[in-house]
Amino acid sequence: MITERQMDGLNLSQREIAMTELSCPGSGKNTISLKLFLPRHTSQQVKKAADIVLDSADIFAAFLRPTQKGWRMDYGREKKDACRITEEQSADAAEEYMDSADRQPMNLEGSLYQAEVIPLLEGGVFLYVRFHHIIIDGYGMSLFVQRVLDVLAGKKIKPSLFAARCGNGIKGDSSFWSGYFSDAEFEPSIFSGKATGMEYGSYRVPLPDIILQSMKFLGRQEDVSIPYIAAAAYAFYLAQATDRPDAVFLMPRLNRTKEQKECLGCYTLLVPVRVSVSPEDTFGTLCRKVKKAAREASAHKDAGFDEILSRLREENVIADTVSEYVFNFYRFSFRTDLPFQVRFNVAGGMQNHITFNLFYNESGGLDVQFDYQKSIYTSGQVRHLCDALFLILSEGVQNRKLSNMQTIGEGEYQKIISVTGKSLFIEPDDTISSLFRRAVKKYRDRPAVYAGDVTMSFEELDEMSDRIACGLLRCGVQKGDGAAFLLKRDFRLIPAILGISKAGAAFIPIDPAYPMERISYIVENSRARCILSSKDVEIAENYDYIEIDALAAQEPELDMLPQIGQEDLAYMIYTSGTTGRPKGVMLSHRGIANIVHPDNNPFNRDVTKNCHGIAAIGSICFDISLFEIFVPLMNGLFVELGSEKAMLDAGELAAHILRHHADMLHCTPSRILAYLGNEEFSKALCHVKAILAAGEVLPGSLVRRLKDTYKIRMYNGYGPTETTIGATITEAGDTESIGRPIGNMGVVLLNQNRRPVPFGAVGEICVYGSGVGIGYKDRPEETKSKYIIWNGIRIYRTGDLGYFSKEKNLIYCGRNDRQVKLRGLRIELSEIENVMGEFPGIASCSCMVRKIDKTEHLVGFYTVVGKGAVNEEQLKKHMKSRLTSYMVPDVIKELAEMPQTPNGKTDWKALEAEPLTYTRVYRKPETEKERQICSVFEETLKVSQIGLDDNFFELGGDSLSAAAAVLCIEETLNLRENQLEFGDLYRFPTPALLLEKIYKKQETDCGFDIKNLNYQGVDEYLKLHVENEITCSHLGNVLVTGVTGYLGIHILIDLLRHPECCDKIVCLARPKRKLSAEKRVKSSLFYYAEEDFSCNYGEKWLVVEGDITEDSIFARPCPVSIDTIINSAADVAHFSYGDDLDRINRAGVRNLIDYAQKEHAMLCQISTISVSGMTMESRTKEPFCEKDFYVGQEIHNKYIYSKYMAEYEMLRAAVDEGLKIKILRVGNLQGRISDGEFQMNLHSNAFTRQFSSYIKMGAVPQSVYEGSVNFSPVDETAHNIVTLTATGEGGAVFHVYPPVELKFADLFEEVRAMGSPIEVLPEREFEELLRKLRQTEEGRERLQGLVTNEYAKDYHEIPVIQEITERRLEKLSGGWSVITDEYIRKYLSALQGMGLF
Amino acid sequence: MKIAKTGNGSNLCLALEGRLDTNTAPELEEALKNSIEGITELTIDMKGLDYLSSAGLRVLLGAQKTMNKQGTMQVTNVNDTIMEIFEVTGFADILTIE
Repeated sequence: MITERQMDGLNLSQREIAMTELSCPGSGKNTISLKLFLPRHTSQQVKKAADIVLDSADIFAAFLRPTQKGWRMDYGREKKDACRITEEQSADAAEEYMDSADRQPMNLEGSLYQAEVIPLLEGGVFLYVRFHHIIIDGYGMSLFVQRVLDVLAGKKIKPSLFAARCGNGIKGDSSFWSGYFSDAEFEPSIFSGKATGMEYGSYRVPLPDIILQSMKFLGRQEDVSIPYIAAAAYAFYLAQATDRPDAVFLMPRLNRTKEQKECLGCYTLLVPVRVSVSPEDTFGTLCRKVKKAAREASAHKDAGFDEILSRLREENVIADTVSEYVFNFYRFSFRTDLPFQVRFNVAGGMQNHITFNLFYNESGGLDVQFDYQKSIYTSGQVRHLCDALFLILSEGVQNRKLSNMQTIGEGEYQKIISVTGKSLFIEPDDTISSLFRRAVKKYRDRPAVYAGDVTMSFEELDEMSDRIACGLLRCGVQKGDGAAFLLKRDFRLIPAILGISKAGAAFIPIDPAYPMERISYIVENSRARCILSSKDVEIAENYDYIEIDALAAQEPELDMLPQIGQEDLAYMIYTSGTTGRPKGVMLSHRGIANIVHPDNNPFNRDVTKNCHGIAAIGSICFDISLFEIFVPLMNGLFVELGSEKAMLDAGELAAHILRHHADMLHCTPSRILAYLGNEEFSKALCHVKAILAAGEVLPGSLVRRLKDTYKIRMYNGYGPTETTIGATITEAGDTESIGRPIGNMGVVLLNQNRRPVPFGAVGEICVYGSGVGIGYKDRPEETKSKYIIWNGIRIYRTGDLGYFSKEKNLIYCGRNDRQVKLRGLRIELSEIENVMGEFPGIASCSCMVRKIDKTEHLVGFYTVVGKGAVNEEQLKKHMKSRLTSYMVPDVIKELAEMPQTPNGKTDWKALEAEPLTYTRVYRKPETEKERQICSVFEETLKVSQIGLDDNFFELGGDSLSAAAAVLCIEETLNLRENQLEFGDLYRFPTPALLLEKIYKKQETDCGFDIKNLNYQGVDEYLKLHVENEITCSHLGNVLVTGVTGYLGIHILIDLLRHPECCDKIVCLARPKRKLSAEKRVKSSLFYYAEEDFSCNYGEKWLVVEGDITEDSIFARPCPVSIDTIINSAADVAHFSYGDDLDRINRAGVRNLIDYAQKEHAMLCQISTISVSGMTMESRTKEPFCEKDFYVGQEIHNKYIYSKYMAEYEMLRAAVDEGLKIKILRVGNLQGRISDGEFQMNLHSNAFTRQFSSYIKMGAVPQSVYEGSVNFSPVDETAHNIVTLTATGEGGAVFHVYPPVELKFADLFEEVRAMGSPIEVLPEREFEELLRKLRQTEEGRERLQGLVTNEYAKDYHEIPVIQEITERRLEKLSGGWSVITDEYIRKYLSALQGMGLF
Repeated sequence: MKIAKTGNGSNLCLALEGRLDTNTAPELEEALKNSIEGITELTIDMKGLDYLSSAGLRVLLGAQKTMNKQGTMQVTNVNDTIMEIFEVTGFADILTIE
């Protein structure tokens, strides 16, 4: 895992860069460059200046050394690469050369910059410097240029020292970001797709001065600076282009402290900025919002961009990235009198789609530069973006309301409104009847309609429809009336339609299969003058209808037929409405006259040339049936009218096709797919030449199959009823898109504010042109909202989403209402269906949100291909691999067939009624912890009997209840802070997974996290401060802490007995109950030293009340100033609950650091050699010496961790702030060398506990007996500490313990001699004894001392050496006594006297 | 350190005054040795004792061990300083402190 890498010596900014580098090593990513043109300087002058600048900054000596687990930045590169002078070139060649150099890979482990001077044939030179971003940021590059200019101007420049002030790599808390993004509704990108490859482009233009001047004016008015105004334009554009109320862009923050300001190096940190853009705001208000949002974000930048992203991902705010848009302001303006020009290229590592840069230019104005990803943006689109931003700025600076501002520039606008079909001339008086009459004239005897056994020629059809028309007029129907018909699919159907039209009335088709209630509603709502029906239509009995047969028997009298206009109402079709009542869509003749034109669209062109007739199976209540009837009839082709049975049965349809060799078909893809298995149908298809599909996205496999097997050309049409059947259509075989507008029609994509979205972005498909209908019958409100006037054109808003491909083909993205919210998360159902449909074996699928037992679930229905079967587990797995977890359906159900509405679309109502059960497999919680988590789930969700595998979210959990559950689990299981993160519940949504996550983390991880600390500069510091010569020095006034402890009191005793080494001694101690601090110290002194040094109390030494865990340390001001602090205060409990260890051992040290800094005192910390830690690695680590700190060790013990962190705090303070420190690591403290006296609280000593267990058992394992142990007499340790402390700054770390370990054998021999028998047992026998003792309570008591030492069998301790300290002690005449038998006897009798055995 | 011995029959009270350390512990040890035989109730009165060192503590433990076999021992009038030592060393649990 990349995130596991270690980055030593890198600050947070550099770490982030290194991380991204790791995902694509060795590329040209993360390189940035500057091109400085100097017209009046020679190559030599510029090279010299560049070299001086390179030499002046330590960062150019930096290099990255690969370490075992990552990288470390060092500054010791022997020789910096000097600037190189290339051959003389033309300016064009030089530009080209630099551009190509910008794209070259730069190896992180090689040289991190490259500087070249390019002399130009035309005169002047280019200084081209390319950097790895890890050593410099954009601001740093500006500094570089400024310095080169300064040197050229003869100025002196200051050295730049980055290493000393590079900052740390510690991440701040990221919790702010959850709140910052709460309720945010935004899209990370305008254009879908991930940036691929390294291809990026740049477009740079000056910001027009007139805009800049107005921006300055607005800025003063609103108290915002220029960059925020530019960013506001950006935010407004993004919100409009993504059609969301919020805009999010990324902004690099300078992240430099005052003292880092002039430093060549890399500090910048990226933050996302979220702005809510309300159309009611003025532009000035938006500017202020942007300023506030950016500042808030900036204040929390130290969380680290990666961390912010992963937090937002965990909380399901984003799926992958937060924004593809960067805003970058270069605040640097150059100070020089020299002529120059400079360009920066900062796009090197570009992963995002667009970076909007704002630079100061040479003339004091601003340049905007867009760096763009070529795989996403074309140069044209970038120019459009730039135009749009300039337009927004020029309108915005007038402080208009956002709702009154435009967001698309003129050029792009022209492109957007040019998405139209072919312009065709249609006779202005063409209507259904006039067009049909023209066809009759032309094709008189040709067959027009086959219906059952009846065949009608064009002439016969014409005559029958004339009769019906005249009959209707005689019944009182007038021009402009509505005439409904309820007819079976027989030979009378088409004459009825034509007849009504000829009578000048509008036909209203009604399916006799409709329920009566619906029929009555349509009749009533349409205010139809009459109903045409027949005695064979059963349901017609309920209505007052005109018998069609009677009409057909009327005498035709052509003179009575009225004149009809193109704009007259031609038909009304009822579609389902959102209110549950069908709504009547009113269409004029104009749309039909247009769509039947032989040149209207590719399908018409194909069939009018190549086909003979259609087998029509579309329900008469859907307008596609009109296409099936009118396109053939108006163009001389026949209609084989399919019976009701043919609409549903593959074999019957096959028979219809074959009867008169119909060679064209209209059909939904899913119906063809379903029918393909039928042999007869498959045979019949051989006669078919063209199929028009509609209503669904075409599956590529189907298109290929039809083309390869049957040579069928397949088209896909798209269009709502409201725009007369069709709006767009594809060329044959196109499966990606829904094509382009048909003739005389156009499409524009608008956002919710009815502004066009940028070309290529997703918007609502809005249709304009000849087909756009009249509106909804008696629904003025709905008509007004769906049919709108946009820029003077009447358009219909379809409610479908789409975007244009670069070829101007429309890509369909589903209904805008198919985007649903589930548990607070936005879900695009069509996206889920696409992924589900990819799974092999699935024929069709539909997803929806359904309520099951009061809880909403995401449900996926599917059907299988043929008789195949789909493994649902595998299917779920597939979906999980492609979709974020919350987008994977909780419930998946196979259906025999996907329910369809009569016109072949998915029947959502039927799916809504499909019985569903959400089954949970109950796995009973067994352990206490399992029960606890399950009951937290139960309480939070108010659901009973939750099992181990139940998913929190499938049972109704949402982001609110998730937060409550996490807190409750933390409390119930008594977890450490941050042991369970909020996002964990999303990733581990069941009790079983959650438990595994909580407890596995502790067991399998590498102990406490010490590898991700900031070790920058520590190694260098230790190198410098360990091996140098040290000299004796005076301690001055000494503060000693922890003096009531075993070591502390001996340090105090040593200081008191060697009064010459220091001035005053101040002891910091806490009072305890009635005992004053002074009394406690004196009592301890007496206990160990048998004198209380009262005689020079107050003069030489004194006790001051205080506590290192308090911020102020001293309860009252310390009466003397302090020169040296010896901190021996520590909680030494190796196993402890709560935060005592951290509070005393680490936070206490932090307080002391603050105090030491205030006092300019040296801080001496008593630490432990255990910080060397353990390792699992099989090969032996190098021994841990005084120069080492972090060597890749693992620390699993809380006590050792706290001591390690204390050292860490000290070293950071030393490296970062120059604190004088000494770290004295001690070993196993044991009895005094003088008399064997041991610590009073001997039972808290791990070693003695272990030792006493062996004695109590009367046995010791052979391996222990033959081994040895670090054994440090406390008084000598204290004396050596004092000796080492009283030295200069040359030595900072010491290992204070004797060079020779004590043999256990010597110790046990002496125990035996004192009368306690000890048996030495082989390992296995000892184990056996342990096992036996464990069985009784008394036995377990004897074993107590061994328990804590049973840790981690696979680990071994890293060996520690103390040669450096040893040499020093020799010089300082300190050192260690030999441990004699005499001493051991005293030591043991001291232990015995204390009742140890 | 002064040791005042009082008692009758099987009762013995040793009142200590001053400091109990390496120098004075042998005195106490001696005093105990001489008079502990036959004693079933031993009282160590610490009213006048200012300080206690490790050596003194060990004598007390020895006395307790002896008394465990033949009777009871109690320590009375323990001042705060010495009480803290008893607590830290764990002697507070071993001795009977009144």
